[in-house]
Parts: sequence; C-alpha cells; structure tokens
Amino acid sequence: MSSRGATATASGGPNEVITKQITSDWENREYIEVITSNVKRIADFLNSFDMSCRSKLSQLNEKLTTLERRIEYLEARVTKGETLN
Amino acid sequence: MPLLKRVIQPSYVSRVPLVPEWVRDESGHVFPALMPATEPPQDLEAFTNLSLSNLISQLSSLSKHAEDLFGEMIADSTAIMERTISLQGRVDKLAVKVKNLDSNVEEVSLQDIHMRKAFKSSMLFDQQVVSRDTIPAAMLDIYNHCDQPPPLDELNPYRDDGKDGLKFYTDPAYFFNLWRDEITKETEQIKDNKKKPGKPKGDGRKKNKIRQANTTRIDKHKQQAIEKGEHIHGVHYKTPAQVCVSVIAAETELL
Repeated sequence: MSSRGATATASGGPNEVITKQITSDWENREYIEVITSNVKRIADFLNSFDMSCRSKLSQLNEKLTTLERRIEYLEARVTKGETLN
Repeated sequence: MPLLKRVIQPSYVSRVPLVPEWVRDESGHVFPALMPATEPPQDLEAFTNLSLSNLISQLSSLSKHAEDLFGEMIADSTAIMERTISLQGRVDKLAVKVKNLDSNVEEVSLQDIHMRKAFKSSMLFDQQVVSRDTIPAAMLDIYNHCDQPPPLDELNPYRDDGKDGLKFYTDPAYFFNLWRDEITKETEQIKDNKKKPGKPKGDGRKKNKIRQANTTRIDKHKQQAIEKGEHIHGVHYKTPAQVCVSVIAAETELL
C-alpha cells in the first residue's frame, strides 16, 4: 500500500515518522482484516449454499425416482405387452 | 480428523512462502530444506504489500473453488432436468394411450391374459456409488496430492503364501470383498436350506421310542396325601425271585 504508506517529512523528528508509520500500519492491518473477514464470509456462504442445494437436489432426485417407478408400473399395466405365443 | 474437500490457499497470508531448496552447511554437506521464497520484508509497508498479494491469491483460489462447486451443481441439475424431460414425455404418451383405451372396442380374451410375458423392469440401479469414476474433481485433486503407499508389492517374490504384500498395508477392495463373501455365504445357506426339507430316504418306518416312566395316578394321590399330613404305610411287594426264595425257605423249615 504505497499510497497509504507514511512518508517522513523533513520538518518532523524521528518519533513523528515512526508514529506515522505505525498509524498507517494499523490502518493497513484494518483494511486487510476487512478483506480477510469478507473472504471468510464468502466461503461460509458458498458452503451453506452448496449444502442446501445438494439436499434439495437429492430430494428432487428421490421424488423423480419414485415417479419413474410409478410411470413404469402404469406403462406395464396399460401396454398389452408381448405374449408367449 | 475431518477430510477437507476444498482447501483455500495460501492459509497464512502474512507469511513468506517456503519453498524446497538445496542448502549447503558449513561442512559442505548439501541437503534439501524449506527456505523462504524471498527475503523477508524489512519494513511494515512491505509486509502489508506481501499480505495483500497473498490475499489476492487467496481470493483467486476461492473463485476457482466456487467455479468448481457451481460446475458440479450445474452437472447435477442438468442430469435431473434431462430425467424430468424424459419423464414428462412418458407421462404425455401414457395420457394419450389411456385416452384411447376403450373397453367396448378391444376384446381381451382370457387366454391372452395368461399367456403374457412376465414384466421386466428397465430401471437401472446405481451400483458402486463410491468408486473412482464418480469421485468429485476436488476430491480427486486432494487424492492426487497424497503420498503414495510404500512399494511393498516389490517384496512379493519373497513371500511364501503368494499374497500381495501391499494389501496388508492398504486394500481399496477390502469392503467390497467382505460384502461379496457375506452374500456368497448367505446364498449358499439358502441353497442348503432348500435341499434339507426333502423326505428322508429309508424304509419309511419310524422307530418306536421307549416311553419314559411317568408317575402313575396312585403315586400322585399318595404324594397329595403325604403333603396333607397323612401317614401312609409303605407296602413293599416282593419280586418273583424274592417270593421263590421265601417259599423254598419255608419248605426247608417244614422238612
């Protein structure tokens, strides 16, 4: 973060320069913390989204399987089918 | 320990990454070691820049995992959609067929009903769900990064029993074999049970069992009377041998 970095001024003493550096470092750390927590939030959201989607897809899959079995049963009842003759 | 499916890297954003390098010590011995990839930054600003650059790579790793995750979901939902479409087609066909059915027009003979072929389902059941073919890409990536098992199979020529040495260390087919053995045993048991109920071969006669001596009614009444407090004189009957002996003794006394 060169734009945020502290630069020593000719008028200030060494203490002032160090204070400015530390202040800007704290600001930078806060900025990094914000980004890190947001990355964590994104990861949390993605995990929960994945879990909920998977559970819903599996429910749907189960229902589809049941429906396919029913349809197959009905088709077998309706169709004449081949005879042994 | 939980198995992580997707790992976002780098985990430590403020650390200088370590890379394997060949290092020479004071005695001139060369050995591999993990060394920092770059010189550690000397001032605070450089450290901030390092952390930020690591954060950017973390974000890129996150987006890669997110893309993979959505890709898997799209594949699953596409498969479900295709099944739904085919199911819809079958339902439509069935509806048309049911509408066209008319009991007055079609004659169904009783003979035809009995001569029908047995129904055979065309449904395919999922088998070997947890196999190498169905492994998710993220899991396969983790698997490929794992260490190889030690090459114990190279020692196979020195084994007397002819078994694979590596299978004592790791055996992916262990649970399948266990299940197969169990099923085979069950099938054999069922076969044996079917064979057993047949009629036993022989002359067909049953052997007469010797009846066990039970307590007679007199004994029961005696027992009841004793329980009530009555005193019964025991009558001792002589056996035929005892009777003979006593008769002979009486005759000798008379003589």
